[in-house]
Amino acid sequence: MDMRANNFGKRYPCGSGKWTRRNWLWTAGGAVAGSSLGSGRARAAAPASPVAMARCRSYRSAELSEHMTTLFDQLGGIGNLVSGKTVTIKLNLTGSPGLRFEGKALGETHYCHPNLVGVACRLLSEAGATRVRLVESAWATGGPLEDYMLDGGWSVRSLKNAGKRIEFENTNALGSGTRYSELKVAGGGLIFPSFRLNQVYEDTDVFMTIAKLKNHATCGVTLSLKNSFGITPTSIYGGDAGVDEPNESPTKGRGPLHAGNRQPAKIAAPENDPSTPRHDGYRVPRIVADLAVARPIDLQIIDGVETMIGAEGPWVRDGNLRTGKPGLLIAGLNPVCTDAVGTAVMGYDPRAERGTIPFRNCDNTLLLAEGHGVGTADLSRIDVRGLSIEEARFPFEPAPAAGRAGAASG
Amino acid sequence: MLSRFLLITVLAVSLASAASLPEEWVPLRWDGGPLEVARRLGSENPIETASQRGVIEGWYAPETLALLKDTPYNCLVLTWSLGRATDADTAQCELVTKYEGLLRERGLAVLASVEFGPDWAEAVQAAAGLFDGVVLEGEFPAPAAVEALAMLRSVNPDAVVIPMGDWQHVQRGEKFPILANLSGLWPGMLSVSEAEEWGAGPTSNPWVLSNAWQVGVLLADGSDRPVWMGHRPMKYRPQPLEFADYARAVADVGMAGGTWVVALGDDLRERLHKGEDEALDEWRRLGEHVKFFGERQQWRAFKTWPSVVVVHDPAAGGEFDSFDVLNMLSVYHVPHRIVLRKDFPDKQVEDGSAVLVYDFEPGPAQEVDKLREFTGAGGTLLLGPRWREAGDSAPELIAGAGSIRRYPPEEVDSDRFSRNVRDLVEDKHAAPRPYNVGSIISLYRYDPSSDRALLQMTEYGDYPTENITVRFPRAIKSATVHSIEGEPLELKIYEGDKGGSEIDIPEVPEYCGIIIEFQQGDGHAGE
Repeated sequence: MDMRANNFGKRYPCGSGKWTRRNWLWTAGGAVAGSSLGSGRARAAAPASPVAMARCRSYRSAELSEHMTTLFDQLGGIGNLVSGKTVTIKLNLTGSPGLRFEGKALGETHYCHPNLVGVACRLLSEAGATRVRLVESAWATGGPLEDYMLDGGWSVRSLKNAGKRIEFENTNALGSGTRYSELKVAGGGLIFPSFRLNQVYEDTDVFMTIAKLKNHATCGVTLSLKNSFGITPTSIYGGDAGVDEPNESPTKGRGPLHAGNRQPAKIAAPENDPSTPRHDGYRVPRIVADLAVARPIDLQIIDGVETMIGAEGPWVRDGNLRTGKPGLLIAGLNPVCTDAVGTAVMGYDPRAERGTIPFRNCDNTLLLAEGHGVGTADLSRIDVRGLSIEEARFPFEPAPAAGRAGAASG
Repeated sequence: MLSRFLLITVLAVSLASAASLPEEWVPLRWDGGPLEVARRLGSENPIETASQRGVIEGWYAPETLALLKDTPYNCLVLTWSLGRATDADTAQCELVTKYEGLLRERGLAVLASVEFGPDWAEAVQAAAGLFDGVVLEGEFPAPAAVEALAMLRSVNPDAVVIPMGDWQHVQRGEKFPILANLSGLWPGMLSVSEAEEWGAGPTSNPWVLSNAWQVGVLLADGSDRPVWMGHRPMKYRPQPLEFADYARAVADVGMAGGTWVVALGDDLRERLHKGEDEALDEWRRLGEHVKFFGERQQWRAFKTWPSVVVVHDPAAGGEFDSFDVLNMLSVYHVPHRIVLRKDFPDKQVEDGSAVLVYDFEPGPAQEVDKLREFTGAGGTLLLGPRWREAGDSAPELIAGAGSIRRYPPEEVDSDRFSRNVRDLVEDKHAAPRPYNVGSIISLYRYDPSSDRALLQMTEYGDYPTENITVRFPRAIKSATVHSIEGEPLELKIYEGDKGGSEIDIPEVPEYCGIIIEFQQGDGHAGE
C-alpha cells in the first residue's frame, strides 16, 4: 500500500527518509513525556544484571553445549529459574525461509541456528523445565511453526527429541490457543497501552529469547529486545489484519506497525496517540520498548557464532551486506543489559543517540527500554562475565543501512 | 544469393540419410563459421574478444570433431543461413559442406539452421539433399514452414523441418516431428535486487526462473512428440556461463520431459578449443547430464499429478499472466496438469482435482455446461480474472456440491494467487509436501499401473540445498534417490501423521529424481 495515500502518510511520508523539525519535536516530546530517553535518572534507576559471553567458533552441538553450560553457570545457573516450569522461547526466524543470503543456510546468516535451539532445549530440560515451547510468528503465514521450520531446513524431528516435552507454536495467529491474551504495558506505553498476543506469551512461567547478533535497518541493531517485535501477531497487527476481528490466515508482514498507516484489529487496543510521527525510526523502537514491558524477557541468548552483517536479512538493499563469524554466544537475565553488551561488541555505543551510528535515523531502543525501567544500558553498571567486551569485539561497520529507517522492514 | 548455394547443391548429390529417427535425436547446437560471426555482429550478444571470434570462425575445422566423441549428441545443428545474403555465405557453405560430410561419416544426423529473412527459401532449397532437415529459427509463419518442408521432401522424402521460433511462433502442426521453442531462458534464481526490478517485494520469496512450464504447455499437446527447448542469451544470467548454468538448464527442461538444446557459450568454447582439462571435464559432465535424461525415457510413464488441472488456451492471449501463474504454481510446488482448452475436460479431471481457468473469458455454452457439471459433481473451480472481467455477461455458475473461487482482477499478483491456490488444494488432493525448497522446483508424477511415484527436484540457487523433508499422505515402502553424478541412494522412511510417511533428502545438488514405492493396499486418492 502506498502510505502516502493516507492521512498520516501525507503528514509524515514514511519511506521518504525526511525528518522534519516537527518530527524532531515529537521525538523530544516523546522522550521527555514518555520515557526519559537516556536521562540520568532512568540510567541510575534501571536494574542491572550480569551478562556472560563465550567464544564459540562453530555450530557443532557438542561445542555449543559446552559453552552454553558455562554461560548458564556464569549467570548463576538456570535451575532456579526453570525447574518445574514451562519455558517459552521466542526464536528469530525473520523473513521468508525461502529467501537466503548467498544461498547459505539460514542459521548461518539471519536466523538463529537450529543446533543452538536444540542445545537450549536439552539444557532447559536437564535443568528441570517440564515443558519447552518454541515460538515464532512465522513470516506471512498462520500455518504450523513446524512446517515453517521444515521450510527453513530445520529438523523438527531432532528438535522434538531434544528435550522432555517440546512444543511448537506459530504466534502469528491464534494457533493452538482459544483466545488472545491482553498484556498491558505498565505505565501506559509509548505507542500502545497493551498488546493482544497469542496465548502462549501469557501462559508461560519463563519467557526466553534466542536472538541473533545483527544490524537492523530500522533500529540499528536487532538483539534480544528487538526479537520481541515478532511476538505481535499479524492476524491483528499485520498488513492484512482484520478490521474488527483478527485475520486467522495472515499473508503479510508488520507494515502497519512500521508505518502506522492503520490501527490494529479492534480486538486490540489502538495506539495511544495516532498523531505521533508515522516514521518507523520513531515507532518501531518505541513499540519494542513497550513490548519489553508487556512481556518481560527473563532469559536471553544472542547467537553471534555466525551472522549477517549490515542488516537483519538479505532483503535490505544497499546495506553492504556480508556474512561474518564473530564466534560469540551471549547470555543474560536482563534484555537491556544483554543488548547493551551485544551492541558494544558490535562496535557501537549502546547509549548512542539518534543520528549517531548505528541509530542513524531512529531512536535507540535500549534507551527507550531503559526509560521504561526495564534495565540499564550503562556498561559501567553491567557485570560482564566470561569473555570481556574488548576480547569479544567484532565491529559491524560499515553498515550503511543500519538504522537508516524510512522503509518498511521486517 | 542462389549462386552461393548452387555449388553446394550440385555437389550434394547423395541424399542425406539420418542415422536415427527424429524422436531419438539428442540435439546439439554446434554453430560456427564466418556466418556465425556475422550473425553475432550487432546482436544483443556480441562476441567479446578477438580470440573468441577466431575460435567461432574456425569452428568447422575437423579438429572439433574430437569433442563429439563419447557424447550423447547424435544430431547437430549447424549454422547455414541468416535468411538474408551476407558476404560470408560462400565461405560458410564450403566449410559446412565439408564438415557435414565428416559428421555423417560418424553416423550423426545433421540439421541446417536457417533464420527467417527475405532469402530463407533459397537457403532451404540449398539445404535440401545435404542435410537431414532444417531448423527454422525466428518468426517463420506457419505456411512458410510447410513450404520449407515441401522443398526438402521434393529431394529427400525423409527430411524434416523443425520450426524453432519464439513462443508466439511455436508451430504445432503434425507435419513437424519435434515441438521446438526458442524462448528458453537461463534458469536460475533472481537476486533480491533483480527480483525487485521485476516487482517482487522486499521480504517476499525469491524468484525462480524456469522453463519447466513451457515444456508442460507443449507436452499438453498430447501428441507425444519430443519437446526441444532452445534459447537466446538472456539478460538475467551473468557471463561467462559456468558449468552449473549449463547443468541446471539441462535438468530444468529434462525434469519437465523436454530436451534442452545444448549450445556452447563463448567462454566454454574457447577453453575447449584450447584443450583445457577443466573445460574438457565440464564438457564430459554436461554430456552425462544430457545422457541421464535421455536414458530415462521410461519415466515418461509417470504422469503429472493433477492437484490442479490448469485449462490453458494458447490462442486466448494474455500469455504473460497465465504463464507467470504456471511458473509460480511450480515454485509453490502445486502439482498441476496442463490441459488444452480444446481437450477439456474429457478424461482429464480426476476426483479431487481442482480446475483452474485463468487465461480466458467465458466460452461457448457447451464449455460452460462442462464446468457446471464439474462443480455440480463436487469439483473445485478456480476462475481467473478474465472471467471476472466479463462482468454481467459472464454465465452464471452454481457451485452445487462443489465450490467456486473467483479471483478479481486486482488479485492477479501471481505470487499471492499461487499461494492461495496452494492453500486451497493442499489438503484436498493427496500430493506430497516438500519443505525447505524455496530455491527448488519439484514435479510430482504418478504411474497408476505400477503404483509408484516420481518426485523430481531441480535446484535453481547457486548452492545445493540441504535437509529437505518431504511428507507423503500415503505410507511409503521405499524411496530411492537418483542423481546425475551419484549412485542411487536408499532413503530412510519415517512414520508420518495420519498414516503417511516422511523422508529426508540430505542434499539436492542440481537435480534428483526420487522413485517412491508405496505400501500395498494404500490406494492413491484422486487417481
